[in-house]
Amino acid sequence: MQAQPPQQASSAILETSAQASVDGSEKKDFPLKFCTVCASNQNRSMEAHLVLSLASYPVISFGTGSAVRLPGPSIDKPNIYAFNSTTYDEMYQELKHKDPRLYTANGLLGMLDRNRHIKGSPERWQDWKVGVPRKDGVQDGVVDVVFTCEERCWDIVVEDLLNRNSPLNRLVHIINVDIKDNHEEAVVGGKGILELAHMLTAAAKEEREKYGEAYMRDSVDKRVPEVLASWQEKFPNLPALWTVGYF
Amino acid sequence: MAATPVADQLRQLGDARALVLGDPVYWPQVLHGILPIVSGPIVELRRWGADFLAETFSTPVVDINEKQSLAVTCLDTMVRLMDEKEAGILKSVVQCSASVYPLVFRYMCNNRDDQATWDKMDMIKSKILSLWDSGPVGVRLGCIKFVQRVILVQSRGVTDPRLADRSEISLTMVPTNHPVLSLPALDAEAQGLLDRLLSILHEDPRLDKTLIYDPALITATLNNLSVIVKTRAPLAHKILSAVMNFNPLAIIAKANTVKNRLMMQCMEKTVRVLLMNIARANQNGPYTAKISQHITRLSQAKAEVLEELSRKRPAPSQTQPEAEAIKRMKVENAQAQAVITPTATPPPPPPVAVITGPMTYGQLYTLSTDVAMTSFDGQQLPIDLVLQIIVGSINSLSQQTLQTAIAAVNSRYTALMAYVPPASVPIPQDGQVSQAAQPGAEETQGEQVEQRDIEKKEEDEEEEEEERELQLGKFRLPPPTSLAPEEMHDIAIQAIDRMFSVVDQFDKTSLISRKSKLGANRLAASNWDREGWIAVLTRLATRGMGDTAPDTVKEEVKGKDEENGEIAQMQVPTALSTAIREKLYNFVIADFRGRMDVAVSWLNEEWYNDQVMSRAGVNREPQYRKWMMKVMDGIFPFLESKDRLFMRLLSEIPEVTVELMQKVKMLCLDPDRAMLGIQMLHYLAMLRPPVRDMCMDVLEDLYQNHVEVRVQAQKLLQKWRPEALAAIDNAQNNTQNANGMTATLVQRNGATTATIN
Repeated sequence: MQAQPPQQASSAILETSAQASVDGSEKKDFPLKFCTVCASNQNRSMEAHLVLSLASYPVISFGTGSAVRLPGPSIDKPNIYAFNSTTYDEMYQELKHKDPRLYTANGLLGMLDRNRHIKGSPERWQDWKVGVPRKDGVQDGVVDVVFTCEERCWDIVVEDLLNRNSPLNRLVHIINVDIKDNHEEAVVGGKGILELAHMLTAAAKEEREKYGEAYMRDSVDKRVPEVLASWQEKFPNLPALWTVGYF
Repeated sequence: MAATPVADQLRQLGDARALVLGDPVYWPQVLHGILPIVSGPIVELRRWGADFLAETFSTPVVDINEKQSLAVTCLDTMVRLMDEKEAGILKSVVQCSASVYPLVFRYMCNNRDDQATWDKMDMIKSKILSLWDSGPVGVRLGCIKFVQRVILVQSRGVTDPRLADRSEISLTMVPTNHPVLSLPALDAEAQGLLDRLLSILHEDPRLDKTLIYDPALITATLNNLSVIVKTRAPLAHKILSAVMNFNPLAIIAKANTVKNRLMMQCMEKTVRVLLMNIARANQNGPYTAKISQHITRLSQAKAEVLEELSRKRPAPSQTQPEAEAIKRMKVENAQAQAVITPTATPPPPPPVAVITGPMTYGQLYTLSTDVAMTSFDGQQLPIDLVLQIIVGSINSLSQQTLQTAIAAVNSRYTALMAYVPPASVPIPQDGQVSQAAQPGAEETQGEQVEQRDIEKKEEDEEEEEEERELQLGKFRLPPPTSLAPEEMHDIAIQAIDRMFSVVDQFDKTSLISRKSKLGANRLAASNWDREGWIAVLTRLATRGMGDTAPDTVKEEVKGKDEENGEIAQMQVPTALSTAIREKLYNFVIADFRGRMDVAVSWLNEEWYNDQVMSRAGVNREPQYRKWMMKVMDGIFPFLESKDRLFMRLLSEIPEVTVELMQKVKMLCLDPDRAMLGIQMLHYLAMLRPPVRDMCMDVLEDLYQNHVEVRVQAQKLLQKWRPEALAAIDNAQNNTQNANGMTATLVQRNGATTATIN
């Protein structure tokens, strides 16, 4: 659909889907599946989506806003698109048509170009049907960790899960990593999220290999607080927040 | 399959899963197919099977009725898997059970006699409940979810059938005479489980240092409560009070580590989102106000703790300040303090500071030297909390600590008594007001006893240090820089303008409803309504601005006054009060019909003030006549014949003058408004006897000199001054006789002309 897969991003996606098809081995190598969330599913969540998928993690991404809002020619004239339906490619073409100079200068075209090679269109968190199988990175439609990129998004996600009444009864860690909404910070935040994903995955593998006295192969869940704390010490400029919720 | 059978089988199973994810129609079939493998000896396959079972009952793509029949067939496998020792497998089975429990419950409601199925479910339940305490954290998190499901299923849902969710599974579904499911037992079990679920929120990390205080379990518990509160009204109160009693900030008391700080924020935030969610779901609910209060308190407490932490972080010993912060935030359990406070060595006796001069009870009893402590106002705490603290502290105090403290206070007291003459009141109650340290200083003694107790407790934690700092010097605010008279004037005018703008904001109430029912007992300007503000303004203008004070800024003496020495010596109003009067005047004139009441009360105030001043013998220029005439001059030109209400103004002002009557007379001569003028005279003559004579004088004049209103004037004179009428008529008759000829001639000529025409 979104045509011309570019070099690196697409290769990551191919790799991930290849692993997903071999289910057993996927689970062994990737004990955790991730989801990234920001307001418009454009900048921060997509940057994190990219770096996580480049590292071959199963990952999907969402936005919590009511619509996709991109900066326009002035502050009171944003470009607004609908979630789930308008593709990144359509936005790219439209903005390129409107004012190529402006949207190249403010980085929007670059961002949309990146995004259209990662997935089809921005998705809204509230519309996500958790557990319905997907064709992309997370085949079974559930994740173990949700990374939000802003405290407000974390609030929305946690509250949305409360309102959904957890029909799946499935545990999920919701972690906020506070990132300012600009290109540079998104890159920094993406690195932070990737590192956290590495650390959580490492802890999960460790627990899985461990044979305790009473119980064998514990899960990563009890390790999350300590992992998060040591991560926070490494990234003191990305304030973290976490809670244990259920899908 | 022969070479690496397990890997091969896993791959096959993976393919099968990919198939059902692609097309859920095959799900039941595949599940039945894998059940034997799941129970087999190969652990890898059991792992896979447990995950698949959990996924089967989670997935939204399989129909709920389908799931229900699958659930019954899977119970045996699940029972077997519950004996596993692997956290991963158990986690999946527990998750699976949480999904299956409501389904089996519903199945039991419709299949009353299937005792065997319920027994299996019961077995799984009891295994999960035992894992809940002892299992690995990942499994316990699943258990929490399972317990929430059991509570939801085994309690009564929304009773209103219109609001009830038909698909919801609850106790309401169970037929009363069910052979297996006993309503009271199920209900009681749910209540018990809820208590157990909430117990984690009652645990206090400060009380039990060995406690495994796991934020994962706590946040997971919190995130499970919203649904119960929203859909199970009878349980809501218990849950909310547990949540509100839970102190998410207490964890920091264990140790001030990065992790604990982070976890503190996470738990606090989780509580907040939960409470907001509950409040939002039912905006008019009974808990909304309480919740918003609690959220505010929580943010304050958090801000305080964070501030405390950032301030105290460099300190080498860190437990103490945190304990302090926590305590101030929420002194929940006083005994906890005993745990935190290192009380190993007996405290050294506090040196008795030399206290001279008056002091408050608070100072007398304060042994703490911590500025934060001494500035803490014990009265901010609710009384029951204070009692808790006192009882707790007394319990946890060592005898020695108490005795040293008492001795310290005692010696202070003796010193103080020696200083102050014993005959007088030992502790002066004033003179220390500026000392912020002791807000309770002027309170009754009873309250001070509580204060003392709080401070006593604080003193224990502080381990009685030096108290020289206690003697804070008196603090006096430096006097403000003085303003130039012009500046003061301008600022005052601005203030007055603001008051006028306030008056306009009120709706005009009807005169009747504005009448105070209190009558003479009414206190002016006691309500901040329109009337109140008008009273303030009029009194500011008349008596408020130190009208007669000799040293206030005087209005410039006019040239006319300079010529006449006597007048110049009269006290003239201050510039400010004149300005306010001008404003009042403009205010009234701008809408005299709507603001007649303002004029009346203002002019009454002026008159009253004039009277008071003249009685006091003050030589001052009376203001009433001046301003009354000014107002009348402003109003009269605009009066219309329909302005009958204006009569009220004339009748309600305190004094009617001759000049005013002249104005009324002029009104009578205006052909358009003559009627109004006559009516005024009539009204005044009738209802204001003191001015009746004045009215009659005017009427007499009108009768005599103005033919056009003669008839009306005659009517009124007839009533009140008939003798004048007769006198005038006599006089006129005489004149007429003298000029008789002329008059007759004129008349005749007129008649002739008429006839010719």
